[in-house]
This record gives sequence, C-alpha cells and structure tokens, in this order.
Amino acid sequence: MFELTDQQRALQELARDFAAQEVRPLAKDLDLEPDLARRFPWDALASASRAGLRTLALPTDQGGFGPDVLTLCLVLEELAYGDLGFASALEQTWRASTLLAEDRAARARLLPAFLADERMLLALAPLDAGDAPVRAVDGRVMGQRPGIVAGSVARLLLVEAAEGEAGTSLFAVLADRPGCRVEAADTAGRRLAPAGDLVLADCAVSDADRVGEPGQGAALLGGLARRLAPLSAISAIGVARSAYDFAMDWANRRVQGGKIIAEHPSVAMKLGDMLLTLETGRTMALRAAWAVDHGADDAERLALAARILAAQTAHRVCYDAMQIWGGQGFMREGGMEKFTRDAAASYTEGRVDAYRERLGRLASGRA
Amino acid sequence: MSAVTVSLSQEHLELQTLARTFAEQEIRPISRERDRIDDPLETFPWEVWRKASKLGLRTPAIPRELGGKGMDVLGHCVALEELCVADCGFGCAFHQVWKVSKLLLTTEYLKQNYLPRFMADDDYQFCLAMTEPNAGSDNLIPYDGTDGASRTAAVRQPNGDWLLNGMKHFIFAGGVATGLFVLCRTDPAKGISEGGTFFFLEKDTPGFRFGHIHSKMGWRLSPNAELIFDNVRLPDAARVGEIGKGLAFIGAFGKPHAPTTSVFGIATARSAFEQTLEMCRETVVDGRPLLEHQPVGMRLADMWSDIEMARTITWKAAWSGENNPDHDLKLGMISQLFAAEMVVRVCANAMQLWGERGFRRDNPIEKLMRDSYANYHIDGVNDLNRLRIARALAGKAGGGYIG
Repeated sequence: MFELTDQQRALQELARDFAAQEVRPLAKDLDLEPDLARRFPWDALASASRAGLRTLALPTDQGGFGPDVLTLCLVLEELAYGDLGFASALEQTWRASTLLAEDRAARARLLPAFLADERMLLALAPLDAGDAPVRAVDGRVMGQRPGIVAGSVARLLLVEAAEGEAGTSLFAVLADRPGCRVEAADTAGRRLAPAGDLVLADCAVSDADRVGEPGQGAALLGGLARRLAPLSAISAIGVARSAYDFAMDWANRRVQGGKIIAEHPSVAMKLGDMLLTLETGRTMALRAAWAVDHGADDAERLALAARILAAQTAHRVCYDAMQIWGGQGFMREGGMEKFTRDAAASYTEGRVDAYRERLGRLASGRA
Repeated sequence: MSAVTVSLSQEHLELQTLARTFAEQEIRPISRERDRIDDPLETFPWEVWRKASKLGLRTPAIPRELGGKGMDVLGHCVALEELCVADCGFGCAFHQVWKVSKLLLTTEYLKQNYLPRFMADDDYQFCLAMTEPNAGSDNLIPYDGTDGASRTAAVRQPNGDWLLNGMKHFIFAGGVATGLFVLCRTDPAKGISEGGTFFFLEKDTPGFRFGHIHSKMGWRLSPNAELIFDNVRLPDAARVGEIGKGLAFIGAFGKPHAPTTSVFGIATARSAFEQTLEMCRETVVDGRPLLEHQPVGMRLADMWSDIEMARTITWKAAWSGENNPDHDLKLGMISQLFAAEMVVRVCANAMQLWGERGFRRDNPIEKLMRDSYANYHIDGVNDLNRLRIARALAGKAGGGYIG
C-alpha cells in the first residue's frame, strides 16, 4: 500500500539515532526527578532543533517537511521510543507551528522568533469544559485551562477562547505575558515534559495576537486534529515498541527453569502476541497517515481506528512486557515500569469511547 | 462437589467493621501523601501500624487461647479487603503478618521462644524470603535442576548448627520486619524440591543485614528489600520443617491461603470503582450525570461485574480450603489469576473514564493504576497460575516443569 521514500527513511534513521543516543540515556533518571522544573532535557532539545526535528512540521519553504503526516509519524515513533514526554513536547510544537504557518499574519510575526530560538517550544490549549473555560472579552482573555500536554515547557501557547457570539477564537500568548501563568502539573507518565495548568487573569490580547479569524478557533483546531490524528496513535506505538524491545532483551537473557526463558512455550507465545499486537497497531497508524496524506475517503475512519487500536496496543504490550520481566518489572530500578506509566497517556488523553462511537457511526453511515 | 454458598459469620462481620473503620479513619487519609515520598524506607507509616496493633489488627490470625482472634482464611479475606481498599501496599503488611505469624505455631521452639516476642511487640513483622536475583519462578514452579532455584546456602556444622550465606532480593517487608523465614539450599546436589529447607531468624542475628531497599511502581507504603546473609550461624532448632522438604512444607502451608492474595486486586479495583462511580454521579454533561450516558454506564457495569466475580470465587475458595474435605486447589489458583488480571482491566477502565484528570498525580486514580500492576507477580506471574491449573488438570500435584 505504501512505501517509504529515501527521504523518509533518512529522517526515520536520523530520529532513531538521535533518540537512542541523546534521549533514552537520560529518560529513566529524568522521569524519577522529583523537581518538575528540572525534568526536561533542554540540551537534547537544542540538539534536536539543529537536526531540524523541532521545525519538522513547517512547510518546505520554511525549512520543514510538513504537512506530510506519514513523515511526521515515522519521526514521532522514534522520538517516543526514546521518551514519550520529550516526543510529546515536539509533537505539540509541530501541531501549533502548523497553525502558525498557515496564517499569513501569524507567520510573519511569530515564525522568525520560533525558527531562531532552538529552545522554543509551542503548545495548544484547546477549550475544555472545566470550571472556568477561557473566554475573550474586550481585548482580554481570562479563565483556566488545566492539563495542557507538555504545557509547562512551552514558551508560546495557542489558546482557544470563547468569544461572545462569534464562537471560539485562537490567540497566541507568550507564557510569560502579564496576566498569564502556567504551573507545571505532575502526572503518572509522560513526565519529562510536565503538563501545564494555564491560568489567565485579564491577560491583554490584541488583534495582532490572533491566529485565524475571530470565531474560527474550533474549526482550525478541529481540522488540525483530524489531519494529525495519526500522530496521537503513533506516539503510543513508540512506547509499546520500547516495552517490546525491553521484554525481548530480558527474555533472551533471563534463565529460569534451566533455560533462557524465551525458549519456554508460554513465554514464546507471549512474545508472539506482543509482536502481533505491536505490528498491527503500527501498521494501522502508518496506513492512516498515508490515507490522510493522500486524501483517501476512509482517512477519518482509519485514523480513528488507529487511535483506538494504539491505546489498546500500548496497554497490552506493556502489561505483557512487565509479566516477562516478572517481579523486576515492578521495581523502578529495572526501568520497565516507566513504559507502562507512559502508555497510560494513550488511554487517558482524549476519549476512546467517543472515538469508538464515532467510528461506528461512520461505518453505519449515520455520522 | 464444591460448596456454592458462603455466608459471613458474626465474627467475620465484626472484623470487617473493625478493619473498615480503622482503614477509613487512619489509613486512607495518609495513603497518597506517603505514596509520594521518594525514599522507600521512609514511606511505612509506623504510627498507624502501632495503632492498628493496639486494636488487635496485627495478631488476629493467632488462636484465641494464645492471645489472637482465631481468624480463619475467609475472615482474613474479608478484613484484608477493607484495609487494602484504603491502601494496598500497607494492607499487604497486615496480610503478610497474619499469614506468616501462623508459621510460629509450626514448631515448639518457635512457639516457646518467638511467639511471645511477636505478641508483645507492636512493631514485629515478618519476611517470607524465597526470591533471589537468579531464582524467581524457579522456586515456585518448581524447577528441580541443580543449576537453578534458590542458592542461598545453609551448611551443616560439626556441632549441628547451620551456617547461612547468600542473598535474597525483592523481599516484601524487608527493612521493616523483625522475624525472617528463609528458604535455603541445604543440599546443592539436589533440586530445590529435595534440597531446600526453611529457617527462622531475627534481623539482629550476627551476620545478617538488610541490603538495598527497592523503590517500586506502586505499593509504595511497604518496602521490599535485599536480605544479605554473611556467615549467619543458626541452631538446628531454628530449622522449620524437615531437612530438604522446605518447598513441600511451605506449599502445604500456603495452599489454603492462595485466595488471600486475590484480595489485593479486589480491593484496588473496588477503590477505583467506588471513586469513579462517585465522580460519574457528580459530573453532569449535557444535562445528565455521566453515569447516565450509555458508554460510561457500560464501562461501570463491566467494572462492577469484574469485581463481583473475583470476590465470589475468592470467598468460595477461602471457605472451601478450610471447610470442604474435597477442596479443589484450582479454586485458589483461579481466584489469584482472575483477580490479578481483573484489577488491571478495572483500573484501565477507571483511567479512561477519568480521562486526563485520571493521569494527574493530584488525582487518586493514577496511584491505583500503579498499585494494580503489583498483582501480576504475587505468588508468581499470571502464566504460572495458568500452568498450575494445567498441571492440576493433568492430575499432577507438583514437581516437574511444564514447558
């Protein structure tokens, strides 16, 4: 169905080497670092920037490879294999930079600084149904948006705000702007890039801060989410692949019952299940990305299927991998349990049941 | 025929109430804060433990005539669930003491010399040490080659004493326990089924020390640790059970207790279910509580059903193990296997219903998810219980290695 281009293979390899050499070696210790402000590997980010990974989603005339979703997926899988938190910070940046690049005014005003600063990360703050959803009134934004993915390490936030009759609008707000506060929130996994709790208290915004037209926010974010849906799937696959490799390594080293445990039928079957689950989830995610890139009619349903399957894949593969590791898998020192905590991101972010229902409605022609 | 009706006695209900009240008032309020302490030796809540001991919650498994409550295995399950709902790692400290304290009754030497010390000392806990870096499943299957299973050596001395050398790891209550039951290899020329023997010692015995304290994904309120034996000399009276028959001894002792470890999964799942149900009642979306939305209700139905099935098989196995002369050992095995897999399902369902909030550490659900993963390796990994059931179906009581 799809073949990778030479350029895609080269980028995949670049990301793989980068994640293996510069992210994975730091990930276990940073994951356990109690101080949230000291978890993110900023030097690794600078290095990723120099390799072009931070700006990868920008259009080719801006130095990126966007909007090729398959390419982004191939790279994100490798980054998530290194560490999910680090990968999520870049994924968020890709998403937000895509919107900046598509808006002429925002591109002229914000992209030069983004391109120049190799430590500048971006994040999306979509409206949520919390206690005090963000609203825009008379040139000010106010309200709260808890749990922005990788929000605590982002310098610039694209904030969706309810704006009177117009619907919702997007504003680009620097995290250190007066009236804007972002507090880091601790989570079970994805810990290298802690989530951000955004509090806006009469934060002044002008028309120059807008991304898109007034009232266009929901449409812009919705369109972006549909196009980039395979990214959410592939990051879970990257985590599952880490756990799979960890388990395979252990199964080929550990001796119980007088032989390498991979030689026992029960363990071999489990390793087979893991491979099957992982490859199924991975193939579906990449196929969905290909379908999106080619404007295929079934792109939305494939992307939904990929997202649902990826959450199941990450959960199952990590659970199996822990069992292969035995008691060692439950100890922090082994490093295995981190993947299981990271995998939980895939079934808490978004609403798997809503995806299932939507997929069923698309299938029955009643969407 | 196996019994299908299990009813709780007045004593069970009283114990349940005592444990539930204590857990709600003393354990639940400190659980999450203690879970977050990084140093695994600082998380154990000694003050709460001592209060529990004063209420008789440390020694209920000891017969009444010796100062306990004479609690049976079903009572163990019922009371343990209440403690573990509040915190499973701390609850397991009670489980361990309840179960292992009964080993003090197995020899006259232990009963005379150590039972009084155990009864008198609020801090007194136990380790039951089998696992070593190179001997996990080996001890449980068991693997009978001379090249595997526990290697910690006990060598007979000319005067009849034993000299212990070696190391255990991942041992529950390591670092906080006083009394230690240890599986040693007394005959390296034989497999563990014929060459393993249990010994008892206290932590102050010369040559013994706790080593590294392991930091865990969940169950953080109780530590696991290395046990290090460096020329530890013990009298033959410290031997528990026949020489070379350690595994058979601990197997016979442990079998009626199999369903007690199913309680961990049941309790963690119940805690996740109860808190999720409450959230789904209180959260209103589109004018209706979440609970009344079909997809949400279906997940909650799955969670409730899972827990109810696990508790039913567990209580049946607990009652049958002590009261049914034709007890089927597979009941204990399936209760363990089902509960271990069930709790991971239930907690994943809870996490999905809580969504991003459930992933946060300022929310109670992610801790339960971490705790849920303890269960796959209690008394051996899940597939080990599958193999035990398979072996029972094949009519083989023990020994031999399937696969």
